[in-house]
Amino acid sequence: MLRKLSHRFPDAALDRTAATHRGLARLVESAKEVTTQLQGITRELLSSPGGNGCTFSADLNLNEQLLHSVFSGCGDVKKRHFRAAGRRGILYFIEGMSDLERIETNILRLLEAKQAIESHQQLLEILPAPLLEFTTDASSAARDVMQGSSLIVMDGFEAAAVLGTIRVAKRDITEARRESALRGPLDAFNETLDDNVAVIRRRTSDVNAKLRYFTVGERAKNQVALIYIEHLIKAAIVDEVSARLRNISTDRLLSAGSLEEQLSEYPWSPFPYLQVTERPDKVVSALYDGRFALIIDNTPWVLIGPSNFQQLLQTTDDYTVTPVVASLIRLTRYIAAVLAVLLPGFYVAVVSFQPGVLPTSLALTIAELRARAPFPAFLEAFVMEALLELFQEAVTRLPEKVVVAASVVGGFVIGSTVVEAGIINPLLVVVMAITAICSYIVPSYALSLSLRWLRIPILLLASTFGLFGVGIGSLFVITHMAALENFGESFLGGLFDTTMLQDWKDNFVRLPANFLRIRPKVFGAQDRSRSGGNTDG
Amino acid sequence: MADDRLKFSPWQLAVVVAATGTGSQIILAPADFIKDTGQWGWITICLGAAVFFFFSFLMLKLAAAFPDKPFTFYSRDLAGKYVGGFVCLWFLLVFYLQFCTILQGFSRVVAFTMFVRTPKEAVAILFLCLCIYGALQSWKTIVRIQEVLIFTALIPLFIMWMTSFLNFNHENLLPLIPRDPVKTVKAVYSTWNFYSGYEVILILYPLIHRLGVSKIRTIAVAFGSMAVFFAIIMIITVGVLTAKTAASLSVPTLLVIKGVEIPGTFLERLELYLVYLWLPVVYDTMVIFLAVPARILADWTGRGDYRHYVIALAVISLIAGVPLEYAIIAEKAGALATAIGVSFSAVVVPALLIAVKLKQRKGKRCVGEPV
Repeated sequence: MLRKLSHRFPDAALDRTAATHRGLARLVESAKEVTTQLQGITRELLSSPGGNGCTFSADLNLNEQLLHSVFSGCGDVKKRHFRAAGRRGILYFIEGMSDLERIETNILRLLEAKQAIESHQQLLEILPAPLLEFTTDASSAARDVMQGSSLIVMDGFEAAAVLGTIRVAKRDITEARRESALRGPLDAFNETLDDNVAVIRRRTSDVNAKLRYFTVGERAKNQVALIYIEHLIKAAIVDEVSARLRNISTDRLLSAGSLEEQLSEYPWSPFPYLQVTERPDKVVSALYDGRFALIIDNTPWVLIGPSNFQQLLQTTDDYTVTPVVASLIRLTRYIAAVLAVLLPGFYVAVVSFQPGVLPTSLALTIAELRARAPFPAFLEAFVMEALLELFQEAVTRLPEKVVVAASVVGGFVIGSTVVEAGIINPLLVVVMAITAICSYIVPSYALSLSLRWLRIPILLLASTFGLFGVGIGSLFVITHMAALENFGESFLGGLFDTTMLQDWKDNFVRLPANFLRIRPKVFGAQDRSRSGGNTDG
Repeated sequence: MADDRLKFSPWQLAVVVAATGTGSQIILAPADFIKDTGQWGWITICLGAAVFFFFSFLMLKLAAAFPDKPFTFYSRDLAGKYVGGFVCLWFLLVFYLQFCTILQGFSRVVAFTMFVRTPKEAVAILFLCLCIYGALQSWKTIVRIQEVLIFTALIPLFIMWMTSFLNFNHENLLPLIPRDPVKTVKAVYSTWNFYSGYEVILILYPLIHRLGVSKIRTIAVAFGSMAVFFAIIMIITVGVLTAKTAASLSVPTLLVIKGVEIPGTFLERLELYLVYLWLPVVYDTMVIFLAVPARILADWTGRGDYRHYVIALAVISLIAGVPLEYAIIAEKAGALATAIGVSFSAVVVPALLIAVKLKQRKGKRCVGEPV
């Protein structure tokens, strides 16, 4: 007689199995909750002020359990057991970030060869690692391991040894890629904070060049270095920037742009808040104007503040060519910056509202060209503006080898085709091309983007109010620029400032070096004289 | 709102006075003025500069008696709660009536010159938005705007105006000695329209550096510059059009520049460029004329934030502008604004100065300082 299997094995009955399964599932859920709570407790202990919440003990097993909990889920953290002088020990390190050969030859072999290790002092004598430190704070030790150091815990020692075995994979110092100079120095920053500090230090042996390190990012613990010249920069600026750096609330800091945004008082302004550079010479020059620089680990871009409109329009080559030529180039840049914003607006205003300002022959030619195009001037300009933005964005994102092909397609094929097809009139193509070139002349890419952005509202105003709209738009921009401040300094800087007439010598134009013996007043440098003597210059 | 505490230099005060004075009137005022003065307007302008500089001097003296307090506070200290309040209202109207009348006149000229179909109300609203944005800024920002616009708009406008010399006929100015000197002197009263705005001294004084160059000297330079500028406008307008023709036109200055033909250049219809450059010049005047009443109201009512008042006053000016479309009402409003402005300088300020002296004699010393 056939019977159910459950009759023979009651514990295997479906309902009882299901009940057992449910019980197990509940148990797993509870275990997860307990794990989460334990992780939370571990995290709190690790992040407790002063690191007192989580300390090493003399018991190796307890230390191992503690570090196991700390490094749980960190697959790249390796540990290696060893015996030295009869004591058990464990070495922790990260494979890709620590110098394995150094660990093997300079640490493990030396330790294992030793007959007796009784004190920290003996350990110090044995290990030649340059950065050997003892710590009882497990959280700081864990942080060091995460940065590439090695950690040794040994039975009977209450303190763990942190060894500087960091091996950083880094890019060499190479030529500036975005801010090339014709006759200036060629080197640029890389992604390593220490290298970047070193290239600045190499340019100035001034002991007044001070450096303060800050850790930003509650989780990622990114390093930021604030560098300035003491007794030159206004003390209030250093205090302000230090306070703002301390108050940044973020879990990580990955780029100069995000730090700039965190420091900015005007998140809605299109204008850049700080000057960004990859050139060490520019940073040093700024420091001696009474400004500060922020070097962020893992990015080759250094922020300079306080920043203003004039600084964003200056380049290294302004000081490597003769003053007369530099002045002409600077004036060209200012004109280019204005045209980059206003030119399409002017075109639409003149063509749509005030053709009378043009000579009759030109007005007739434009009217003839416009007669073939089906769209109103504004729509034409808007289409061209959109095309220009598309090309610029595509060229920025594409690999270098494809850029040439994209430029050909964009510039020649589409450019000439839209004209031949009668969609856009040729004069507008000329206008937009000049506008694009003008925005490329602006040395600061961030400022160039701002100017590109400002073209759109000006275009809208021009299409509704003609030249009057362009004027109103320009005044909005001027007012906004005058309202912007940067660590207490005006974004317009000394531009047309009647209280800073001395700064005009290195403003729209650049006078010869003999005339530039005092520092710009605009940044409030405490010692105005560049020769270090007379403050009145 | 930050930075109203920051100090300006006496030269920046002069820039504000000059930029505020040199505003809309360079295009709007000459017609009526030439009716009163004929070809001797430039003499009246120069006399006006001296008279209104004297009133500025009195204002500096008054403000120097209370170097750290704004006018709205010490006017009540000196004249009592109610009379002081009335004085504040008077002071407010000096600026605000000008603001309303200039807004109407400016939008009328712009709509007439630059547009075919666009109504002047649309022009006025757009311009008002700009003025609101400007007036919402701190004094520091406003002063910077004035400095920038002096160099980027006022000086180019002056250079453009000077092209009218191409059509200048000196005979139109003759005889140089006025036939009716009394009439010429009487017209000084209406030159207030040219120089108005110097009253801002009473508001800005606490923000000016105590040390450095004398404020009287910088204000004298400001009035001197304005006098030269306005006198040149008068001389050229009459020299090009004759006094009789200029008096019969509503906006003679535009006709003066319209007649200019610069050979071999790309530029045509210069009057459009002139109006384009006039826009920023009017803007920096209007920002002051809106910002000052808003701050007076904020101080008067004890509310620190003046921004609500900026917006409220701007909206009211738009509504008040409706009756100003009628020429007679606009003329009366202009006359009222002038009367209030001149009487404030000529009556209220001296009266308050006398009150200061009386208080000082009674032993209630005011904290004074040299200007």
